[in-house]
Amino acid sequence: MNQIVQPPDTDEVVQRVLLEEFTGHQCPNCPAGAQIASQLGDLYGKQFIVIAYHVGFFANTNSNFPVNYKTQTGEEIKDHFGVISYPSGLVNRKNGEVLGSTEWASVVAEQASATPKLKLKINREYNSTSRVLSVTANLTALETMESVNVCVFLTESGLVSPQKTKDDPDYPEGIIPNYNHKHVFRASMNGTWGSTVFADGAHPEDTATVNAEYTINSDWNAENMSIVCFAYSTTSGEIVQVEEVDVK
Amino acid sequence: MDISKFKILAILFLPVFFFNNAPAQDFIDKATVQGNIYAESNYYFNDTIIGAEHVPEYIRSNIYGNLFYRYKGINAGIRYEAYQPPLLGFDPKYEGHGIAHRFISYTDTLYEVTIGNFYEQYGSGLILRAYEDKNLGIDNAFDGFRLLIRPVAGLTIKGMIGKQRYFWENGPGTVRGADADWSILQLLRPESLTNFTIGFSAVSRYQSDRDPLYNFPENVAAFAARSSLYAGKFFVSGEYAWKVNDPSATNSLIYKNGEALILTGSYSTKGLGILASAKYIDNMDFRSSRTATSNDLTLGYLPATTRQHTYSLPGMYPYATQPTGEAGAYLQVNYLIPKNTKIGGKYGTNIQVSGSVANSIDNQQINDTIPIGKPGTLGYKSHLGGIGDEKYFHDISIEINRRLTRDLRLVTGFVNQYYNKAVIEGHPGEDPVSAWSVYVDLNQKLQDNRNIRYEVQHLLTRQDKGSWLMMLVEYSIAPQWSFSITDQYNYGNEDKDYRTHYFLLNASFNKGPHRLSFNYGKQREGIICVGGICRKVPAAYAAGITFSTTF
Repeated sequence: MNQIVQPPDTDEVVQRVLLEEFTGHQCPNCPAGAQIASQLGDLYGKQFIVIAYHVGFFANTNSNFPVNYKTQTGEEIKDHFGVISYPSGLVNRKNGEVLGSTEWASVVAEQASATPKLKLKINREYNSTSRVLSVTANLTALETMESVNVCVFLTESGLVSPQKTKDDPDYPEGIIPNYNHKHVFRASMNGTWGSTVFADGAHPEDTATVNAEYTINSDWNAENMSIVCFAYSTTSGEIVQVEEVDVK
Repeated sequence: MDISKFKILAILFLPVFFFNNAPAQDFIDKATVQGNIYAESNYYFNDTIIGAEHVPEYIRSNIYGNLFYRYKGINAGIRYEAYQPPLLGFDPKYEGHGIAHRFISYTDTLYEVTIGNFYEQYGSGLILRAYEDKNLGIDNAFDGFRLLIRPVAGLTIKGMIGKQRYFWENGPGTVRGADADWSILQLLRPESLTNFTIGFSAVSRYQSDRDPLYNFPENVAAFAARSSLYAGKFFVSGEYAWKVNDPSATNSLIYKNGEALILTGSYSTKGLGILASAKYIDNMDFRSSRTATSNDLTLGYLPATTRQHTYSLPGMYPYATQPTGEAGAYLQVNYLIPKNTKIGGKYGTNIQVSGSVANSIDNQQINDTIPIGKPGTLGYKSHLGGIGDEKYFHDISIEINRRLTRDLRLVTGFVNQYYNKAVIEGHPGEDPVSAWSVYVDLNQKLQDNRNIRYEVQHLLTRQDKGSWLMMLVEYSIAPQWSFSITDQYNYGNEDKDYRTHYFLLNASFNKGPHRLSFNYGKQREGIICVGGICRKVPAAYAAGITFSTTF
């Protein structure tokens, strides 16, 4: 394996990379996929962001896997991109291509070295009493670019529940009873496909703002939740920039 | 030939003019043009009981047509395919239409050269087999260059370079291959009825590596050696293959070399046939892309050493070859009890007995700290021929085929199977299935080219979805009409709500090379396999029409 190198974490605008992972607690190969995502997180630090959609029949519940992580938005995204195998994922939605987990790393490397076209900054305000979260995403074009849609999604980590596994000597029965599910997609604050900005295109230094508000479900632990905001081209569908901050 | 046909042929096959000095008109007048067309469309209904989910596109179609041109040693062909969108159970990445296959080749006694798309197989296919199987949704044809030379009698040398088809594109890997096959006695003793051949092949795949986590080998080579002897009633053959370490999506990214051995022997005499085979496979999933999964971009073909059942219920639990590791064996005996004997009856009786088994291979941890199969390591230790403790599959079958009267034929059989669902379908935690099946097929000829056939099948199991009963009646009026009604009843399902009938009506009309058929009914979720390569078939409730023709 290559030596793991942590890239510098600076205030400069860097091109961040979003992995949208399609997974499910009944998918035996998915822990291996999550492991690759974790390794990429170790390698790229805050430059690499993950959303894990629990979708399809692998995410169905039964007596052994009682916790429901499925969402309508996740299913819509799965259907839109034609996901049929698990684990799989989209890396910055490049070419709209659903990739197997062993393909993620090389595409992440390619995307991480791209020159950013857009600066994206998230301001948020969370009221712990009312559980209302307000998010403002500020966008600044760094070069001439087409219109983009901006999505504001919520994820939660630290969700402990059973997960199927495969070839893991510690779990010969094929189930990890206390698996730590990370980056689980919970909800979109502004719809599955987000809000359009720069409708007529943008020139360098053009700015735009997207506001979204959401009341966080009382069953969710805001301490472990993140806001993932990303902008994707309305023509190519590819993600041009992504940012992540904690809810609290 | 009218002008429009001339134009079409001229456009399609213009390049072949460069291969030959024959008069241009000969390419039209003396050429042979053949082809075929197949079209299947289904209208899908949803049925939550059987798991046939709602699909946005109610009507789905798989359509293709081949056109072949032959003139002297020149062959050319194209295939049009359209998936609008593909039928359920086929990969959605097939959606689209266009020319999926085109080639030109020239053949004479010394050599054969092909440019464009081609299929190829070296030996039994362990390290290279490009083929098409529409039922499985497989087409891993090469797009490139192929050369075959026959320098002396009995010796064939082949070489190729190309990329494999990946739906509507080519895969990322470039494949180079060479193969030599020498039928030694054909050169030394051409009059001999004994045939002894040896063969060697080498295949190399190049795929660039830009992965920041692992250093993947960009060039992966595989080699194979084989031999076969055909002498009178005996035939024996064997092939051994070895592959350089090839961490991939299907082997958990381990850096272990792969190897495979296949041995086959048969004996055949009047009324008796015996076939035996054994195989050992260790980390031999060889593809033209390290990231490919499912049936995509397969280079090596690892044949099954299990019986492929033709009847539905015994075929419910077919075995899929496990390319990452498997040891298996198969024995089949066919015996014809002579006619006009007490047991054989007036017309004789065919009996086929077969048994097959597949186990894991014996693999051990590399050391105490690295678990088996850990990504980025050598994976595990193993030795050629080592058999592991975990059983993947067994099948014990007996089938009796007997003509009872001049117009009545009976086929009946009994099958016992063990099916390790967790391994074969990749669903850890699933219970293995033990199943017993029995079937009776009665075929009666009636007057005026009419025929009626009855099938009754029963599968008994306590696992998976429980027991099934199937009945079929088929009435045909040769050579044109055929009607059938089938019902599979999952009466043994633990959940009473799912004890449902899967009925299917079918009617077909044949005239010459044309065939038109209609079907309506339900199809259970399952797996279909051909030669150990399988495709998952989802539950469906559909009405469909199929048309095929050749010309």
